This record gives sequence, structure tokens and C-alpha cells, in this order.
Amino acid sequence: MKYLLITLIFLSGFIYSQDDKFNKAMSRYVVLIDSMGSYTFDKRVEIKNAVDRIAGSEKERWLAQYYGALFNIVCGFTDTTREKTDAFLDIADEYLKNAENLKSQESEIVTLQAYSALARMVVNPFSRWQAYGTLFNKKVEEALELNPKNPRALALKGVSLYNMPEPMGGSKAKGLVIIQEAYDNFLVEKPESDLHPNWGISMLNQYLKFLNENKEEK
Amino acid sequence: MRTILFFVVLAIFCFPAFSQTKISGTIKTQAGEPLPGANIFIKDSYDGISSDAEGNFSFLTEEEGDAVLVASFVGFKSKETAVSLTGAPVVVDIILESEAKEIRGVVVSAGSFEASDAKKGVVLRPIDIITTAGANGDLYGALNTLPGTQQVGEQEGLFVRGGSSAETKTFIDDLLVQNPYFSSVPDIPSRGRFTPLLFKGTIFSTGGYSAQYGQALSSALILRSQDLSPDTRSAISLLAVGVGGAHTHRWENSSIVAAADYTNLAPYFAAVPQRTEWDKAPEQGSGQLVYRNKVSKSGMFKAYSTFSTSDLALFFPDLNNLGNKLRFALKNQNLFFSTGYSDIFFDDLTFSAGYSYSNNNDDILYEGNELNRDDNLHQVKVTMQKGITSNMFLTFGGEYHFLKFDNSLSTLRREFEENYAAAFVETDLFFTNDLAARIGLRFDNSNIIGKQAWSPRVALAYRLAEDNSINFAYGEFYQTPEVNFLNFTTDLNFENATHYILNYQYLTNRYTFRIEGYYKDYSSLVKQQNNFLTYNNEGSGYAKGIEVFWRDRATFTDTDYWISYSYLDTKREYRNYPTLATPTFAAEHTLSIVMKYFIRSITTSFGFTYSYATGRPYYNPNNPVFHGDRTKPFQNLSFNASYLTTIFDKFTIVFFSITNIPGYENVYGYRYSNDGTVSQEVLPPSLRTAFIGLFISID
Repeated sequence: MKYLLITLIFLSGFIYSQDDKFNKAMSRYVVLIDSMGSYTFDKRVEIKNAVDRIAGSEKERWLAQYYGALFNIVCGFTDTTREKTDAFLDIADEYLKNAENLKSQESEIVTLQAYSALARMVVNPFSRWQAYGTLFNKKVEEALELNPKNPRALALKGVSLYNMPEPMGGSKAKGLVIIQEAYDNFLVEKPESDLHPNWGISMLNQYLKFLNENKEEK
Repeated sequence: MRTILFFVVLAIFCFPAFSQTKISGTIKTQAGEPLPGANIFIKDSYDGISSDAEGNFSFLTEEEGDAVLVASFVGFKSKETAVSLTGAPVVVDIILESEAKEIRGVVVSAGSFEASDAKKGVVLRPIDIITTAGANGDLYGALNTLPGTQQVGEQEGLFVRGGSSAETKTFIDDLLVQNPYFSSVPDIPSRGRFTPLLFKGTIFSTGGYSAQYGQALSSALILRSQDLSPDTRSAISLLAVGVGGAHTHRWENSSIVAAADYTNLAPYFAAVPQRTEWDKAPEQGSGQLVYRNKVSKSGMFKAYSTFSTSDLALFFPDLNNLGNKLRFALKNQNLFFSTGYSDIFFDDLTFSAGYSYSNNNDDILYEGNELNRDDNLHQVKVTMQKGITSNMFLTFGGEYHFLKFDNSLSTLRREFEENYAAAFVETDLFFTNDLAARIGLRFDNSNIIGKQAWSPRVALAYRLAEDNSINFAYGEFYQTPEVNFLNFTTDLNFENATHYILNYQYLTNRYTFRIEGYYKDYSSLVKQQNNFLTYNNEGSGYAKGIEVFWRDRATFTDTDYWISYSYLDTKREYRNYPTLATPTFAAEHTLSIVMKYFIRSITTSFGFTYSYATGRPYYNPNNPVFHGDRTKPFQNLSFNASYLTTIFDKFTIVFFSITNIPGYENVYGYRYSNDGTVSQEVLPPSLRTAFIGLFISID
């Protein structure tokens, strides 16, 4: 009996819980998302590679697939040569397909689908607006239907509205209203766990000063 | 004691999980360049690392036993290597292949230009074709900005490397299209029947093409139709000259597109004065139905049908009787239907089969004479592709055409049928990653002339470095004489051309440079004898030239431009030529510059196309030298603009284009009266052509 107890204590220490392993590994990178902009492109790819390794062996966890997609989208978006943007996004879309199969009707996954479409559109807005601009709008609305307070979906919507040329229906004023809404929601957001999506406030950094100006005017 | 023993056993039992294996090595491209930032890891584990700036990697893993080491890098094919993890260091050197090179290292490319949405590093994309200024959305107009083509303003079609437009054939999903252009009247070119948007890929080969394609002496335009439509949507187009509408419906595994359009040039001709005297401005209507069904993971069924009808009439001045006018009226009806199925069996046997039917009817009324031309074509083609070894694959198949012509002039009638059959076999060989060959043989049999022909074709590609290659092609090409001659005699042989092509190409996603030289030997061309209605195959000729193409998408932001230059030296003695002479459709030097510029802030794309060609020969009965005269050089500067916007929240494109902005007075040739005393310039129907349209997409 004494030996059995000791054995159990030993084993509980050595048998490393797979959940803990995943949480610990992934959280190292999740905290980096909002500062990805401060790294070089090569460093971003290195971080993405590490996330790819985790996501590749955690095919049954939607959050693993979710972050696999997100880091690839970030790399695709920030590939200024645009040469590999589509290749990164092909990988991201593959992850998103897996994630959707694991968890349907998830506002966060739909938000990334929108983000991916936006990244593709930016490669060549003229030839791609019709396909990917339309898809982006559709997915953002879908994400907000599933969760009207999703600050990431709001941020993408606001920022794209702000930057879209006026002939295409863009508007700086309308964009700022939604950016404000996104900002307010970021501040009160309470993620389910440390690993649930909680990134994105950095998307608003360059617009915050306009928000303040707006307030001063009022 | 027993207690101690227990802990020792337990320790042995638990601790082996912590023995570590060191894995290290280098990762490089096929060209031997190190790949920094590649992801190297043990499959299904977290263990791995990114390669450093020199392509080196080194990491520790706690995994044990047999494992798979994966190396991946965006834009390259992932590579898996089996490794045994025992604690002893493992050293692995990895070479990754670029995804852009579809099969092995090098792609045979002598003579061809490829446009595709899917492949990387292609020369033109479908969107590039639509936005080329001066082309007005016409596929053939855009291809006329590529090297090897001629600026022939009085006639539609692609005149490639000294060849007439009848020597270029269009293939849709490998099936020959009998009437790719709308029917036209003399001196006024018509457009292609098919919109570039129907196709996901375009290969424009200016010579040396594969044994899979026959009945073309000079050039093959190979079009691949779109697969499933991406989503359900409707579109409306409002043009200054007509209206159009399309609806696309997408289900899980199938899609249908139904489209119709109507154009009438009468209001435009009323507003913009024309040189041509129209009795009835061209009026045209057409309908299309496209069905796609993905029947299994690899099986795709496609059906496409289009029907169009057009009506026009105009006057020509009668040079033999000044002051008199000759009336020419044309009514056309055209039906094209094609269906195809493609699938993959036994892992690596690619199978495709297609059937098409087309009917074209031209009803011409010329000075009281009624001329009717009716042709029907039934066609089947089967193509299979099979990997033989990892370095070789085989393509083989056959096709059969049943053609029926029915021509009548007033009470005279000529009817005939042709049964044409062909078989082909071709092998793609990869000797090394840098050396590839395509060797093919084609057999043609034409019943109407009772002749057979064997056409060997060879293409070689040698890669000098990552993006540089040298290509060579040789081939024999046969074509059945045109219907005009078969009307008089069927005692003829195939016309023949032999191609030799050598090129150097530098191709990346940002730049394309290509220089290509060729020699083409024509023999067995149909030649008219002194007696007006007898023909034989004693005609011959040659064409040789050098072409340069440069495209740059990177140097200037949001700007894309390409420059094509062609030098052509060609002469032939054929048809009614009394001697060896340069044909009327051949200019010695041709230059095209195409530029596109997108201004994001106003969501507008601007395009310019400038073309220049030296004078072409024309027939002057007063000059003892046949084709001894040259027209003045041809010049054109076209502009287009596309403004993307939204109207009532619907995605909209406002499109405007104008040709010949500077108003160059181009002359395409001259017509003479029978006695040679009266001549008249052949001119474009108007100095400039403008076009404005609105395309609205409804989700």
C-alpha cells in the first residue's frame, strides 16, 4: 500500500499532462501577438514556425488550429514583398477549415476568415476587391452576428472602413465610431482562459490619437 | 533492500523518456542556396527549430525510436525524412524544391506564353487580359500585345510569325473551336466569341507546341475553362452599346451560370461619325449556359453552350464604277456546345474526354447574290496521362472530327463531308533536375483529301540557374487545306510547316525576360495554277525572326508594364502569288508597350498601350514587283480606365476606353479597280473608338 502510494506520487509528477504541455507551450507565443509588429519579418517567421509545430501535432484542439492560422495570417500580411502572402494564407485557410470542423459557429474563427480575406485583398486591391473585399465584409458581419461584442471583428471592421477609399464606401468618421466601440470592448473583455483569444488591441494603436481628438472636439 | 530495489526499477522504468537526441544539418534550395527561416521538426511533436541565416539547424528532441523529420518552408514543397532517434546525434542535409516549378526543376517553355490564376510566375493573368488598353476586353486583342503577333487592323485573328490567321487555332479544354471569332465583313475586324473570364488558364503558343494539338501550322491558343464558380451572385453590365446580365448559382458540388447579352451599335454610330457607310449597324445577341459538377474528389464534369446571332449591312464604294455603291449584308447564327469529363484513376492515370458540336451559318447578300455558308463539326477527344517512372510520364490519346460543309451561291451548291482522325503519344522525361525533354509523335488522317501525315515534335529545356533556362523546340505541323480550296478540288495534300525555336528565359514573380529566335520552313502550301480554278501543293515559303519580351511588376509601386518587340523576315509563294513575296499581313518590326497603373486612393486603374509596326506590303497592279509597295508605319496609343466603386452598396466597375488618342492616320492597305486606275485606302472604320460601360455585381 505504501509502495503503491509512492508510485502514484511519482507517476503523477512524471506523466506530464498533455493539456498542461499544450497550454504552457502555446501561451509563450500567444502573449507575443500584439507585439509581433516590433519584430523583424524573419523573427516573425521563426515564431510562426514554433506555433506551426504545436498546431501540427494538436489537430484536435480548435485553439491550436486558430493560432496556427493567426500567425500565418500575420506573416502573410506583413510580407512586404507580397511574394509569399498567398502561400502563408493558403496554410492559414487550411488551419481555419480544421478549426471550423472542431468548433462551428465560433465568432473568433470567422473573424480570422475575414482577416485572411483582407490580407489577400491587400496584395492587389484592384483585381481582388471583388472576390476578397466582398468575402471580408461578409465574414466580418457573420462574426459580429455570432458575437456583437467581439472586439477583434469590430477592430477589423473599423480599421478597414477607416482606410477604405470613399468611392468604395469607406469613411474615416464611420470607421472611428467602430474603432471606438472595438476599443471599449477590448478594455472590458474577459477571455474564458489565458489561451482564449484576447489579442488585437495593437491594431488600434495608430487610431487612438484620433479617438482622443474626437473627444476633445466634443 | 527491497525498497531500494523498487526505486531503482521505478527509476529505470520512468527515466528513459528523458534521453535526448540531437538533430542537426543544413537546409538548401535545389540551386544550393541556404534557406533561412525554414521549419524543421519531428512530426507530431513540438520539437523542432527554424534554420538560421546560413540554413543550419540543430535541436534536441526527447522523442524516441523511428520518427519522421519534416522540413517545410513557405513556397516550397515540404520534405519528410525518416530518422531513428536513439540518443546518438543525427545529421541530415535537406534540399527543398520550389512549388513554382510544377514538375521537377524545369518546365519546357519554348514558344509559349502562359496565363493562369493558379500557377506562380506566369507571364499574363486573366485579369491582365481584361485590363489591357486597346484590347477592349477581347482575348485576341490582348494577345496581340505579345511578341510574335502582327498588328493587322483590317482583319480579326492572330497572325503569328509570318503565318496567316487561319494558321492559328483555338482550343477550349483541348477541343478545337471551328469559329472562335464573330463572323466579319471585309476590312472590318470582329471580336472573339469567348470572354477571357471564362478561362482559368491560357497558353498562347507561337510555335513548337505539343503533339496533343494538330491542324494548326503556326500557333495554338489553348484555353482551360473555369472550374466551379466560387459563389452565388448576379451581374449586370450596361454599355453605351448594349446590355448584359448573368446569374451564377453555386451549390455544394455544382454550379450553373446563365448569361445573356445584347448589343446594337446604331446609337453609337449615330453619335460618333463613321467612315464606313452602314446600312444596318451591327446588332448582336447571345446567350450562354455553363454547368459544372464536381462528381467526386477528382472527377469534374463540365458542359458549356452558347448561341449567338448577328445582323449587319454596309456599303462599299464600287471602284470599277465610280459613284456606285455595293451593298454587303451578313446574318450569322452560331451554336457551340461542349462537354467534358476529367478524373484521376489508379492514383496517377489522368483521364479526360470531351465532345463538342458547333454549327455556324453565314447568310450573305452581296449585290443581289445570295451566298450561304454552313458548317457543322462534331468532335470527340480522349487524353490520358500516366506516370511511368518518377522521371517520366506518358501522354497519349486520340481525336475524331466529323465536319460537314454546305456552301451555296444562288443556285450553285457544294456539299461535302470530312472525317478526320488523329492519334498522339508524348513523353515527358526529366534526365536531371535541370534537363527535361518532351518528345512526341502525332498521326493525322484526313478522309476528304485521302492523306496521312506523321508529325514528330521535340522540346528540350535546360536550366542554367534557379530562374534562368534555355529552351529548344523542333516540330512538324500539318493542316488540312482551307474549305475555300476544297470547294474546288479535293486532290490536295496537307500543308506543312517545320519549326525550329531557341530561347533564353529569366522568369520570377517580379520580372520576366525572354529572347527567342526561330526559323520556320513552309512547304506543300496550296498554290493556285494559271488556270483560275486549279490548285496544287507546290507553294512554299519561310519565316524567321527574333523576339524580345520584358515584363516588370516590381520596380514601380502598383505599376505593371511589358514591352514586346518582334523582328520578322518572311516570304512565301502560295495561293495566287505569282512569285515569292512577303504576305500583306507581315511587318518587319513590331513593338508593343503596355502599362498599367493603379492609384489606390481613387480606386482607379489606368492603362496605356502603344503599338508601332513598320509598313506592310500591299498589292499594286501598277507596280511590276508583286507586293512591291509598303504602307506607311502603323501607330496606335490606347488608353483605358477602370474605376471601382459601389452603387447602392453593390460592387461596380465603371470602365472607359479610347483607342488611337493622338489620331494617327493609319492605312492598312489599298484596294484597286480591276484596271488599276482607281485606288482606295483601306482605313479603320473610324479614327478613334471609344467605349464606356458599367458593370454591377449583385451578391
